[in-house]
Amino acid sequence: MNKTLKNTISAVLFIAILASMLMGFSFIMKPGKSANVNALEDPLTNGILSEKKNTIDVIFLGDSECYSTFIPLQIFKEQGITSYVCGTSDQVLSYSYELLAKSVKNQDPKVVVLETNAIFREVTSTKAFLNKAEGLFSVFKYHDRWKLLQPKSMRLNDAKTYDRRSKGYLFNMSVSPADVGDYMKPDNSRETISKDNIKYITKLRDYCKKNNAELVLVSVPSTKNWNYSKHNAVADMANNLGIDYVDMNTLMEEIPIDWKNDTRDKGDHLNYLGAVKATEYFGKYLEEKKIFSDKRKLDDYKDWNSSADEFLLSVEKV
Amino acid sequence: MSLSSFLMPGGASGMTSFFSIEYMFVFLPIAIVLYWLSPQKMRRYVLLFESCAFFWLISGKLIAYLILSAVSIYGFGLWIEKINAKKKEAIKGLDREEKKKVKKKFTSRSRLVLAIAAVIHIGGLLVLKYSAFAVGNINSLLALMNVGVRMSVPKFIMPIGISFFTLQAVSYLVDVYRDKIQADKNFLRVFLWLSFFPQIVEGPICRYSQTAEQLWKAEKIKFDSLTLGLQRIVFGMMKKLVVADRLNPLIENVFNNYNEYHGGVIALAAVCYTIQLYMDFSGSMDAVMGTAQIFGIEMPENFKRPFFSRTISEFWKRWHVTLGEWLKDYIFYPITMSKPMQKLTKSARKKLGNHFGPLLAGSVALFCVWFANGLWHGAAWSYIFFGMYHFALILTGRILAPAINTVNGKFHVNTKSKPDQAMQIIRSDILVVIGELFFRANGLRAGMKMFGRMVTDFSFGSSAHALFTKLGVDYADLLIVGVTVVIVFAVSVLNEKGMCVRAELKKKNIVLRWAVLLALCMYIVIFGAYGIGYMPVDPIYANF
Repeated sequence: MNKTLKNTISAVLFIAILASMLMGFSFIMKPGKSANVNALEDPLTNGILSEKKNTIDVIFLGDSECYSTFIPLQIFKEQGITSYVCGTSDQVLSYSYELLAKSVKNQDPKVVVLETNAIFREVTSTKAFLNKAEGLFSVFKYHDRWKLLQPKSMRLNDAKTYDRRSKGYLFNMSVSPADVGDYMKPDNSRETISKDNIKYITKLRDYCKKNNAELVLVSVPSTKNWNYSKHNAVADMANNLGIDYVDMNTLMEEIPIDWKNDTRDKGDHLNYLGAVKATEYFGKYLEEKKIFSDKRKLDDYKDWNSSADEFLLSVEKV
Repeated sequence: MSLSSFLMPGGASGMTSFFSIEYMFVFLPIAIVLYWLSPQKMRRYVLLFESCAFFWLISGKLIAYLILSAVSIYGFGLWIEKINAKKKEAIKGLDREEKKKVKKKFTSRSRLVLAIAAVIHIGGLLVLKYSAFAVGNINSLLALMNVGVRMSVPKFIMPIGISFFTLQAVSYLVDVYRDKIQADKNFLRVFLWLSFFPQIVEGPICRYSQTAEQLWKAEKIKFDSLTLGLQRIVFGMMKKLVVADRLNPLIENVFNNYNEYHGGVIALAAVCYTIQLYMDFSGSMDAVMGTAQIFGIEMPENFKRPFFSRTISEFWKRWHVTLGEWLKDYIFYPITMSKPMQKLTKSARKKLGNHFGPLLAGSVALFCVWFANGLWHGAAWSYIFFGMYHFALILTGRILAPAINTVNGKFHVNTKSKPDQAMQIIRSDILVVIGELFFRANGLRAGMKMFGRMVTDFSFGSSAHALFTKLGVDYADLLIVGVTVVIVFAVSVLNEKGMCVRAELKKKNIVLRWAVLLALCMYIVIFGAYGIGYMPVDPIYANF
């Protein structure tokens, strides 16, 4: 047989065997129940799925900026409004939509907040590839479940479960000062928002409307991720689509962020100190809408009170 | 992936990791297919185009630095060559004394040209990489002296890999100056040698004589080299994804919050970091060597089983070999062979004897080598300390060598016996781990505190269960890291005995061969630290 032909056949055969093995392992590793999948994927964000039916007033969507800034238990303590942060690292708008749709099945929020950093994130090649590969071979997605296939004594936890203790907020108390430089120096330039992302914002707005909720765009303070060019672009888009827009980066008096102490990573994200300031402002903003009832004294929300106390106590300890 | 994002310069920074999806499943296959489809005459240009495209994708317009560097060494190389040629012409037929005079005249001229070129390259690197560090220190000094003036800290954007390609560029110029190689009249060949894409991010630091000709030949891709190259890449992937990245949460946790941990945990983290660094860097090198092998290029090895070293000197002959060789050839030897040093050696030899005399001049050169080594890794005092630490260890070893030999002789210690060699290896490895603790610590002060805690409070503080929960790892993580380290260790032992595992495997029947390879692939897919719950970890050496 011709050597090239022989080599080609062996290469194809090798890839075919590898692919079948990947499929075989995909079958073994895939979890059975969909609820387990959600808990396994993102216990903090998907924790909203384990909240009591129709108890959440506000849903926050967005990337790490979102879960580093909004503290739902503080809003509950101060305004009696219930909220949940559905933030995930590097969130893209298609996933924000997916998370909202999943949450609304069990909740009836009045306001949906989208943190705007995700608007400037496109679906990267890595993610697109991974999504496709994961669709074909779920072993790439669930490979880490090998830990569940071992004897119990080998593991610290039997399985990952939902974690709704902080209602999606990720506590961080590290301090790494930011170099403020030209942060939010006014100019007239406009960053481009991709057509796909404008489509997703429109889709989110319409979906909210259909479910009797209002979509609000919020840019949280970040010297690293935010500038006037992005502010102008989002402000224009919000205006065109008739969506409320709050840019906390322009509200330096109302939200007095001290960039020496209030950021955990040189201005990229706020730490707990900064998050408290931003949340305080936003809680009042929500209260002014006068569409929420105070739930602090209601029996059904007793566990919210105890969660808030526990959370504040653990923060104090740190 | 949209075409716009692919063509966006500098936008594919994920490609700096050879195990990223962008590199492994997009760039590399396209590069191989393009090269394979090209006619023989065009292949070298395709390789050059691919190298430029790679740099453009990871660094965007900063590719200008690479082009300028190539143009500069090409021009200066020819200039030095011209002076060397003139020298050869001028000394023809002259007597010895006159020859000496003429040689001196031309040598000083070519040395001046070399100095200008070296200042441009090394000076450029110093300005880009170290000016902020220098200004920061000057400002601290001014503050200490209560002077109210402060200098503004400059900010530069550095192209990825500048520390590597600058050293390559300087080696080319010095080799031309030393008449070791002839200056290349073909600019594209020089450019291809300097920019070859697998080596640009993390090395190895190749000499012109090692790879330029091979690259320019641009041989056809052979099936054997393709499979062997891919096997090496997969083995490197296992080191990086299964071990290095899995250990990352533990290491980050302890080094960032060392105040919360006892000395035993800090020691554990230092050992884990040393393993991580080796697996990360040598794994990336496997990817580089494997890629080069696919294109038929043989590169100098950067790792030769460093943890089997019996002394620190030996360790550095086995760890990041091409950097060590560069420092030896272009810093150590020029200093020891310089006239003032030779003079010093001569007079010291008279006063201190044959061992300590030459050691004095050698230690000056050694100091410069280790200062440069520390500084090359980064602009921080902890890196300088890291260099000085190894300088002190090597110098102490050399100073004490005669005394140790005498003691060993008196007590009839057989230093070549296996238990004694094992003890020497363990001692060297412990010293290496201590060095890496300072290397990884968040600043020199943190390193000192961590070391202090390790020495004064060597305990683990809580139960293993509670500790692992806090560290963000579990027994399963440690088990899989342990198994993989044993696999790598076993392969290293075989390599150390002179056996090439891949070559041996090639001789076996197809069933066994494929079973091993398929098992390796599945091992990475299942036990790799990627996907949900894991953050991708950048290659450590790409930051240097």
